[in-house]
Amino acid sequence: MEADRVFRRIERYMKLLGREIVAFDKTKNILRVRERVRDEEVVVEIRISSEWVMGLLELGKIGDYKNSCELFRKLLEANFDHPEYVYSIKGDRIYAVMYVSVDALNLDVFYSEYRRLFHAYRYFKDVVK
Amino acid sequence: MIIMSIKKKLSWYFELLGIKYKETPEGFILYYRMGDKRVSILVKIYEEWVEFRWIGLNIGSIKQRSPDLYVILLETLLKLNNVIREVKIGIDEEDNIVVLIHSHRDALFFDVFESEFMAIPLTIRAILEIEPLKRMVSK
Repeated sequence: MEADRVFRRIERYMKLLGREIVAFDKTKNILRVRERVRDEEVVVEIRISSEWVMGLLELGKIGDYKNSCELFRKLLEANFDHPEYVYSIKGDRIYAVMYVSVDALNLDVFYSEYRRLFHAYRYFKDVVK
Repeated sequence: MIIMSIKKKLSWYFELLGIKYKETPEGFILYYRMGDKRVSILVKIYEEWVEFRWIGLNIGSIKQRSPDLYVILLETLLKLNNVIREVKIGIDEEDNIVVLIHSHRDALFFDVFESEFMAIPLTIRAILEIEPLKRMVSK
């Protein structure tokens, strides 16, 4: 499926789910969605290609942690222990990540994966941090 | 349309891809050939998910020998999680590197399965290219 068709589909899902799209870049196929987790406001970035829909939720900076070894270990252990969480890092940033293959894309699968980001966020704040 | 049980459907997919397998009470063990090596991949069927798991190298000895290198290794594995899409990399409580896929049972169709499953050997290869894991394997 072409990326712009996938983009329109995700845009529609977000509207159906009553989510607030705060920014989008149709040339780069990126959507940003505002969410509230507990009392915090967070922004999910959704990157879209012809093959994948990827969601990223930033959790913090590695530099803010004194013991990076312990942080990395906890993130990798959580990846192993919890089917619903995927933690990754890029540069100095820590992310919760979700992926859906376009071949498997429907609202039910997308929403189930999307919600995982917030479970991962809560787990990170409660346990990892 | 005939609705197959998840176990029957998976065993059909393995046969289509020529993957050798053995049934277990929880799912399957797959025997996958990667060049001159054969890797075992555990498949567990849960209510919501199907889990594919490869248990890889133990990095406990690196932790003992060189704590700094151990941190770099953990960092590299987490970075890979940002690059490789279908699978995730973690470590278990015994310091084994583990490659995992959790496929939604509702979204498990052949094309999705094939694309996700084939990412496991790619990920294993990527992990085994990381120094000093490469040296551990070649020993």
